[in-house]
Amino acid sequence: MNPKKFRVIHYVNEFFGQEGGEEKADMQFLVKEGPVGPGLALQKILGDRGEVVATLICGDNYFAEHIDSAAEEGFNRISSYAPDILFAGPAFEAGRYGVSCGALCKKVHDELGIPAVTGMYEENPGVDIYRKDIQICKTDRSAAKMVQDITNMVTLGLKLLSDEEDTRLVSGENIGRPSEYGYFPRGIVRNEFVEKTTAERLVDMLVAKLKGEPFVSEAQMPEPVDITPASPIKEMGSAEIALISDGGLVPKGNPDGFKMRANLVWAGYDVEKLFPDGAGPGEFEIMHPGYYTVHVLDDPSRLVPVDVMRDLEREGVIGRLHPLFYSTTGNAGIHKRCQEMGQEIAEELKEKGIQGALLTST
Amino acid sequence: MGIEKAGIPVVNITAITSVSKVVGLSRILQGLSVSNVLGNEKLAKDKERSLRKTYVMRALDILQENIDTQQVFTLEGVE
Amino acid sequence: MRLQIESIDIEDIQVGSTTAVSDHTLSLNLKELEEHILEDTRISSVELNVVSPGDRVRIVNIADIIQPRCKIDADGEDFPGWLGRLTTAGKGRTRSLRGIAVVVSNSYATKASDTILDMYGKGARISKYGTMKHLSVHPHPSEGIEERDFEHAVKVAGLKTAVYLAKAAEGHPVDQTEVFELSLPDQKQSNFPKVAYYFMIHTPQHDYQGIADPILYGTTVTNLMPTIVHPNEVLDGAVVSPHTMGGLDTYELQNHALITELYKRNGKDITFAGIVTGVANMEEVNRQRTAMMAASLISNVLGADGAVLTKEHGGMPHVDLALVAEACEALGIKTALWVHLSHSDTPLSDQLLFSSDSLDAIVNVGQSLEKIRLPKADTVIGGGEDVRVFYTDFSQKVGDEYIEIAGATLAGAYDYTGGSRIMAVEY
Repeated sequence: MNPKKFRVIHYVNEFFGQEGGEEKADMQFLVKEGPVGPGLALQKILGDRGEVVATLICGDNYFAEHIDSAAEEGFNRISSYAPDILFAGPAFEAGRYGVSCGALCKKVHDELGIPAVTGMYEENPGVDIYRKDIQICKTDRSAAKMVQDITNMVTLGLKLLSDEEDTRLVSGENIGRPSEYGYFPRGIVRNEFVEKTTAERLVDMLVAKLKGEPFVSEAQMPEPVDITPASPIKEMGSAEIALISDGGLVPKGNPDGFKMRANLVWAGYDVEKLFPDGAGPGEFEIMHPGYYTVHVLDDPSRLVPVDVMRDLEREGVIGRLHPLFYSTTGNAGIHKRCQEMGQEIAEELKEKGIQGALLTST
Repeated sequence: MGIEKAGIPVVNITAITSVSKVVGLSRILQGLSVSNVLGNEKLAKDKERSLRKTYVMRALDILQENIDTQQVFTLEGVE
Repeated sequence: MRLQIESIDIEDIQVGSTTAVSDHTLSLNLKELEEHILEDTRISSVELNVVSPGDRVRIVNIADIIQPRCKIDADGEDFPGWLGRLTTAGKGRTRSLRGIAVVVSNSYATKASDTILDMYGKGARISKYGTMKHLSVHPHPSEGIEERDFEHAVKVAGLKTAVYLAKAAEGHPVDQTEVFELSLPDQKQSNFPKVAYYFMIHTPQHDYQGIADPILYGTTVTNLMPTIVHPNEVLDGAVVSPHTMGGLDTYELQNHALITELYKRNGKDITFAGIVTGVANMEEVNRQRTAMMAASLISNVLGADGAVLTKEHGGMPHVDLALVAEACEALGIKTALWVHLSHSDTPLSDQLLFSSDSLDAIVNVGQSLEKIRLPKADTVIGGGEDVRVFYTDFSQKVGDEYIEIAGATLAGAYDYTGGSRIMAVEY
């Protein structure tokens, strides 16, 4: 059976596209048939397995100055070629080039679902921005070893194109280990089948530790987070305070579709409706499987202290209890989305002129 | 957390302070139980509300306190 | 204390007029078993089905999976506190049937934690139960029986069936005999480090409706003070899984991988110093008290040099476990612990929920919520095709063309006693 010959698109900047130097950094998208510049090395390395059907060229400034629209434009220019894979760069140390490669690869991968591989030096700012979304091969600082770098990109690309199931991964995904394929770890986790049971590995590790022999932990501690605490409130008596909780308390019917695990949503709810003053608990439910909810269902103030906050407002201890209560479900949350939600809630609080918040967690 | 970066002080009242520490919240107040963080179901309702008020007032105090690094507070003082 | 487990391999199950094991074939009188189960008036009727590897069958609403075992000694009690009278488990002789399990389903309580088992395709390949034959027991409640009461009845039906099957092999030649012998008071001094095991046996955060299930000698363990149990007790029926907590079956406890590993290494590179068991707590003060008392038992009573520590479900118990480990390290006991992970798109280090310099030896049970995609079955037992299965919500039905579920929802894939050969790795 003849293996399929893959249709390849290659993206390069103005310099590698042989259009010119820095003076051409503002040039717009240009498509040339076949390989150009380092694309020739790419084609040679691909051999029979792939054909560089077109090269997309763009100026680093043009791309980097409007990343999103440029990525969209670049994608539109090449999607009609029905590519099986996109190779971008390698960008080595060049920051604008790296960011452009990353953005284009992400766009093409997201839209077409095809593999998109690029290469960068570890200090290229594009690495941290895009490593999670696409595979970025590690390259040298300069183009001195370009052939080797492109070879790594091709090896990884062919692995991603292979429809063989990777029997090493429980999920069967064909993604290849970062250490074996020379790409930057993406900060994701996958289960592998291994030879030893968890029990065997645990005892082995303890025995090594007791003997003072080296061992490799399967998980490392998180890096300490750098936080600068916000300034304290000066005039509590006139301050507006908001209540926030990640205990999953929502109006009955869960109108905003909170998920019990890996939740992506937060919402602001009218305090009067959910916690009617003096009339007992309103109509609500709890979307959170990680704790038993009996006590909070019986009295939601145990999670969201509206009762005492109202007292304190009446007594003048605080200026005002913000009329919206902000809710989310913080169970097995996706880190990146949790951070985004934090930022979104922050914007809302700032917009509403809130001076401080109490966040209650289970 | 995003809210602190926006310059708004937050107090996280939680039953499990070590998670908040790792996530990077700066003002953390040790709450009661995972299933009842601002209450105690064994108490009579009015005593429970009183207890809750004590915790919330402590949280409001902490919002007025100047700190320069992450701090875990308890009802009585600091950890 | 000395426990002898005599195992007989079952290669085939046939429905017949008597229940007996002959030539490694289990003949099963289903009517007799049915009558035995229906002695419990909480159950009005029961469906019994035999399934084999390769059958395009999906068993759903699984409440527990139990290995057929029974005591051989005249004074032995099966599953003391549940079926048998209270007596110490883990001594004498126990018969065990291999290659077969009892899978008991409860279709009357829908919980996010129910598990399923596919006997075909990817599900069967990944699960340790995929290569075994099973007797599916699916009871139906009598009128007016309360949900929690029925859960007990379901558990009893499963345990009774397990004993009934094991008893049927009386007289059959034994394929393998294993001896588990550990006498802590008589342990001699040796060159090997003394290693204790801290076995976190339960976490209360998932207790259904806030009510705990009886799991230790028939009683609940809420607020259990750290205590010492003999490893044989765990292996011989003192501990059963909670009514429905996906991913931990009584079968796995009966075959507790870490305990059997510690026994295997005893005298080779460690001296097994015993087990301290405790639970996770909802309140910080109880969490700290547990850590302090457990560490003291490990250090001052068991005299250990090192400890392995494990947990079962949930994120919160990582914190409890870390506190026990830190308390041990502070007393000079070197620790290694395991965690399980819950996210595919977050770096490993962000999933630990604790941070401590002394806890540098960590092993992982895998990312047990990693999703797997399973094709539909021809037959569903233990419930109908419209049974809902949980994966962030209850939108999927077991009869759908494909379902995507967390690995922990597939029985036998991940093993919280340490028996699976899976490791979560950073990619």
